[in-house]
Amino acid sequence: MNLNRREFLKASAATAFAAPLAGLADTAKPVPKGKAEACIFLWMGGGMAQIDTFDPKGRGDGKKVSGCAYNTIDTAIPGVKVTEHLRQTAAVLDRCVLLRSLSHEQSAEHGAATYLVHTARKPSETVVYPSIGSVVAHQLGPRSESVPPYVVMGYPNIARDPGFLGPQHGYVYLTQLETGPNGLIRPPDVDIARQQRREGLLGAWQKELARRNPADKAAAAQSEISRRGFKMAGPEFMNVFDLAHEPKTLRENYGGEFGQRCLLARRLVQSGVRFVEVSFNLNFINGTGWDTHNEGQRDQHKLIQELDRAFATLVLDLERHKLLEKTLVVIATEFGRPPGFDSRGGRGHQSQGFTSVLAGGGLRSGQVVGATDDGGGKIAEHPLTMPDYHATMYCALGINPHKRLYTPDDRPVPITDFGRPAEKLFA
Amino acid sequence: MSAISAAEWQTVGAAKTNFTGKPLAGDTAPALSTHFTNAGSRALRRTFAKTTAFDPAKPHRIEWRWRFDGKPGDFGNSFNDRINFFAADQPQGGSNASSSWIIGLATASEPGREVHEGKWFFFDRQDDGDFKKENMINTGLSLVPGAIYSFSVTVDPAAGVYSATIHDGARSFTETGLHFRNDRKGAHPVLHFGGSASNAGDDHSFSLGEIRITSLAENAPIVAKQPRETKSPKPVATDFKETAPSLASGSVQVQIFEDLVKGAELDFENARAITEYREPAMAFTRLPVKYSANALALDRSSPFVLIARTELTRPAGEYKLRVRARGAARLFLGDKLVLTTKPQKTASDGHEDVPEPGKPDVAGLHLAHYSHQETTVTVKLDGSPRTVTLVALIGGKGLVPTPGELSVAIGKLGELPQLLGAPDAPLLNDEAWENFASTQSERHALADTHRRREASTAVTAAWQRYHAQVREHTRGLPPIPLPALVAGLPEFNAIDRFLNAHLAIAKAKPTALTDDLEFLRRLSLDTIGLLPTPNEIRSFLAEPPASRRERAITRLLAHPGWADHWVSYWQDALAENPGIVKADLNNSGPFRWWLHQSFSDGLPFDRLVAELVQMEGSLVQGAPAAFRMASLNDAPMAAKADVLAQAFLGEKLSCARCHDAPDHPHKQGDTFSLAAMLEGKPLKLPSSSTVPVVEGFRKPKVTITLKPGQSLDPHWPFAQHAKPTQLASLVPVSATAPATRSEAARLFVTPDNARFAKVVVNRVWKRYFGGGFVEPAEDWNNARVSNPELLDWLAREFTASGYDLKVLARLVFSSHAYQRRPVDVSWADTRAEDRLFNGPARHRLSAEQLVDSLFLIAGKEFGCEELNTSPAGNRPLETFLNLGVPRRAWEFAATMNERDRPSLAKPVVQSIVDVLTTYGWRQSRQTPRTTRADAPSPMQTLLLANGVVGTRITRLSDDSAFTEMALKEQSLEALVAETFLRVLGRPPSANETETAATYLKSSHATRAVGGVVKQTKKLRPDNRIGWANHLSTEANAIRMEEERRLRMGDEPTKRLRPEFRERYEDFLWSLLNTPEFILVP
Repeated sequence: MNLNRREFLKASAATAFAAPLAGLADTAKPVPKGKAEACIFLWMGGGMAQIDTFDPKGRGDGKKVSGCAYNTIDTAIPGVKVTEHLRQTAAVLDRCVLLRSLSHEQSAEHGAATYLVHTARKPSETVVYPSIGSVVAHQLGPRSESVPPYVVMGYPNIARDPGFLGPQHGYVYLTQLETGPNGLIRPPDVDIARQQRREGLLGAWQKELARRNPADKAAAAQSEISRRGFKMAGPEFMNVFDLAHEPKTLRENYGGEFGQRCLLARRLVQSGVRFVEVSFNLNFINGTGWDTHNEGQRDQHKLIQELDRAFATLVLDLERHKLLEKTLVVIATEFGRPPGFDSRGGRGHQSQGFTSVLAGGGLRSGQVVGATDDGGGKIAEHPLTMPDYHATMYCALGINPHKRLYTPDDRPVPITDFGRPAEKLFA
Repeated sequence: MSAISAAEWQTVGAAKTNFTGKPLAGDTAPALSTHFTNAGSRALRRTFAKTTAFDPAKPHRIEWRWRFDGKPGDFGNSFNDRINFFAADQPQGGSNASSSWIIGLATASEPGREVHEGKWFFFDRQDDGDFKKENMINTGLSLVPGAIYSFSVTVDPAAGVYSATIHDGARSFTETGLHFRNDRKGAHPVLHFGGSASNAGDDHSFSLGEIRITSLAENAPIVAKQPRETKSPKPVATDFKETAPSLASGSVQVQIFEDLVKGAELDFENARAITEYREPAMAFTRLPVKYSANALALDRSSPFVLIARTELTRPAGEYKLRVRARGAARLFLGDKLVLTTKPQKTASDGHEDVPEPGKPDVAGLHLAHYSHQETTVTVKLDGSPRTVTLVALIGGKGLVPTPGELSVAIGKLGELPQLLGAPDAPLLNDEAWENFASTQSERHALADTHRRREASTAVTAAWQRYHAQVREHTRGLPPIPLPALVAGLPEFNAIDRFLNAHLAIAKAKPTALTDDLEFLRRLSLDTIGLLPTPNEIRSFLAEPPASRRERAITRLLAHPGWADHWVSYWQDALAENPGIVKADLNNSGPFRWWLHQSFSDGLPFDRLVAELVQMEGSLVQGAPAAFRMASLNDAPMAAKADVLAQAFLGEKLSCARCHDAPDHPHKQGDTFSLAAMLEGKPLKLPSSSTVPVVEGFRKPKVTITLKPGQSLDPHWPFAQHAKPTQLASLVPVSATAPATRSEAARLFVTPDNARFAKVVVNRVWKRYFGGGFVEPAEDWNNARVSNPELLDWLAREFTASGYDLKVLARLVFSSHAYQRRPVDVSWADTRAEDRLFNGPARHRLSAEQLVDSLFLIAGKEFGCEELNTSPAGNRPLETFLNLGVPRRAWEFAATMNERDRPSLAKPVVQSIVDVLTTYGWRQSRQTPRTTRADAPSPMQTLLLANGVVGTRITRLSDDSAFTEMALKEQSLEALVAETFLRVLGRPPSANETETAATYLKSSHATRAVGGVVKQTKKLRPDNRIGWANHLSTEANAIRMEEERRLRMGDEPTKRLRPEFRERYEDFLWSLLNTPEFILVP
């Protein structure tokens, strides 16, 4: 790592030579700030149909007539409707903001679109961009030594990775609530007593090593790292994963596996985790998950209902714990779906004109940003690019979206590429 | 000519003919009505002699009309009730083996003559003239009494082929390329129209209408149809016979043919096999790789054909032949086709169900992957030797070019079969099949190595001659003087001489030599990426102390692991980044295998770079062509220009990708000029490769000298490093790569390019010492060089050696400096003038060294899923790569589960990838990197201590080497010592022995459980799950269950009592988690 060069660059920010790097930010306007200190990022993998959820239009017939597949209902935001399967969310929509005009160009490939929505960039061969989770963990830092700042409930994939920020800004993940995160918890056959015996032996070797080679700085540093690691897997953090501590009625309100994950997300935020990504990847409900081509559309309402109860319960639960203002909750997806139906009654992909929902974070809630046209196939108002979308979320978390991060070879990379946050969401 | 007169006709059989019958409708001349009264052959016969208008030896067409006038009830159900129209070269009775063309109808079969009963046929000789279905084309038309038939035969006498048409007034049928029954070419002027009757009184009257014979132009011959493959293909000559010992013997002869398929048919005419080799049994899990003249893997034709033959001798009796094939195959017993399988269908979506687990129809039978058809046929053998021939189609559009588990087995009915081959061929049960498959894989790996080295002898020789000239050239350069000896400072070789000169100036002290075991551990990791085993340690110690270090260097430099350890390095530096599923994240192809083969073949490094730059060979089989790829990248060659410039010239072009570099002397034009050289032609600057001007933000202050759409010519932008000199023109290059790419290759590696040798030397030095003479190693802009004299000297040695990395490595390892205790310093972060290299920098195991060493010391296999999301092999390789089952860490890749589906997860792979990524390995290598982000972190500790991999390594399962050690009859102290040796590479101190023994003593004596058998059955991941069924609930559930099971760790052995077993596991755990394990001594 060339610290010398980076210092040189920073110091010469005022000089003409370094001016190319300084000019990237629009320094005239102050960056708006929300109140969030943590983020719960609910990931609807597959492409959630905005027209069947948060941006409904006239009723379609599932065949030749485009439109919404369900009826619509009123919400706590006057004049704003959602579809009938979001009843509980409709009642708490005044704590939310609908971003209805998200836009990017990757409508073909799920992998590339997922990467794009998580990093607000296309893959590049000169920079490996970090995901929003890694940037948040990097910028806000962990609240304590014993809590990892970035947790994923889902599968490791490149879209979630820390890129040039390095593996120390990566995530701890679990794929099933039952098994918990790999590495963070002891294997099932090692109880506390056994762990202590093990650490006793380990301590004996470390002592012997120090005795034989007292000047070994590297060994001492390594021992210290180990100690910090074992502290992270201590009982207080491990208890966070044990949902049995929560009231039965609350657990029932949250609903199935996805809801339980949302409950765990609240507990993780309470314990100091900065960014929790919760994947809704329970395809067994309708076969395809949110990627409702063809017959996948048939039972889509079941997915929406699961999301509805989990999300609404989470919002109210956070509010009850006085955490809602300090927590940005996001419903995100890689793209939306068009108003028309395919030959077997499902929908394809639509990346220009889809929706994300934000809640909490100290935003001025009860609003809609952007709009699609009456048909639902085009953006009519205030298109939000991925950088704009990210800038909005970063601002909610008190992070300057134009701030420069540095790659290991000292190339400056702004947190977003000219992202413009939605001003009206901030006080 | 059409007139029919009585005089010209003869009759066969007793006929009453009436030549004055009315014309058949549509004719002008009267028909010839006949009525025969004999049993047996009946015919009207006429010889058409040669005239000026007609030459029966030349192509002609015969047309006639005909009507059945007889009693339908009299015609049928006997082989002897037949109709035939035919030509012969002499007068005959009925059609027989000397007829040429024949149209006819047989109403019934008889023993030895199976026919298309009751259907009109056209005779088409295959390999004999027998009157049987195989030689008869079924027109599908039955006899319609009273209908006026039109027949047409077009004859090519010289070729012995004809075509025929039948039309019964309503339907018609035509076939071409039919072969004369008698297989004799030339004129057959005697025409017969008749048939046969089973009884004398049968009324088979018919009317023969107008006959028209037309001469055809000479150059309108009838094309011979491809012979239908119902006959066994004859053995043919081959272009290349395998000489590798591992494929040169065995009872099964195998030939591979390419480009044989035309349309839907196999075309064996003039076929020559591409390659021929032998197998011990007729089963194929792996086929030979095809190599070019410079040892690059090539694709075969899509599809290609495999033909296998063996002599089968079994005692007389009934046997079941069993064929397993993914796609189309045919099995012949002698010349008889006995079994066919259907072509494989391609697939596209993910909506299939998880297929039912197969049920073996014989107890103990190994079940093939569900994508295979399993077809059997029962045959009677008479005890004499029979040739069995298998013809199989491999690959095709949208299919992978691999055999899967293609096999032929034979067994008595109801018994477990064995693979077809020698009488001692393996039985088809799980264990024998797995053994066979793994041995076959090894034999092929050896043969591939042998074949590609042989294939490239000429190219290798050319490089040797070139390197002789390079040596000449370097001898002519001004010599680089060694510095003066410095008294009091130790030296083993010239490297120390150069380093000591600077040490003396800085008045710094070298550290002491490390001890022998520490040296061995470090050397082993640096050469082959693995810890030394206890046996290796003991052999090392058994050698005389004065020479054991040099001998270890020699042994390890010759070890095959040398190749494995270098692959990891170059994967990072060259951004090798294959995507196994729908690669859309700036992915390259999988050129890892080519890297491995190049190091294991000992390619001189300049040749390796030259071949890399020229990017030839197969894209998916891992030749350097795979380096060309950068998915969804707007300018792949610009990306590659940067990779190559960083890797081999220390020129960082990445800052000049979208604009001129702000603080490097590179312009965007430099990047794109080199990119155009790699492309082979001028390149247009894509608009997406330009810094945008955005409303509301200040204009970017970086300079942009190019305009989007501007065209850049191929041009070498590094004249300061290399020019096209006479010496550069001697670099052997490919004759088939684009000229400018070959030119770029020359300029990269020519000895006139001093920067190239220095950059490579610097990288190697950095790898072993932890820092380079120049930092960063990939960016020499404005860099200060530590010890420039040593760098120059090493670069000269390297060049003179013919760019031999092992010569360079040996110089480094043999130096006193390398063999010293490590220094607690980061050379990479030290200023150039302070980089004294008075010892290697202290560092930790790399991610790959850690993972490979963990599994080595436990003696366990990874046990991974195959890195293949389409195990059925019916999706194109380009979108669904198969990277195989990883055996060393460099073989892993990202699982690419952006869709977050359990069914697309690979739990065992993921558990190992988690360790790799936490320790700095990259699962997505979009950018080239020289230095990893692998700073120590608490998460690393945790993952090793609590994670799946750590648990598997410490768990005393039946497949763990530690279990065998624990069971061995030896004292507790001996077990402790052996454990220390295995894990930490040294014997324990007295304190350590006492601590460990105390911990284990109480349960040691009674540790063994008697009478328990070692479990050998391996738990394998479910290989039915893949893209085909990734949307299925069951597929998701299966993988989630595998995840849960994996978290429990490997099943513990029952041969040890739990009390001892757990304590010994604790002991192992503690050793793995000490700093000493992770730190390189």
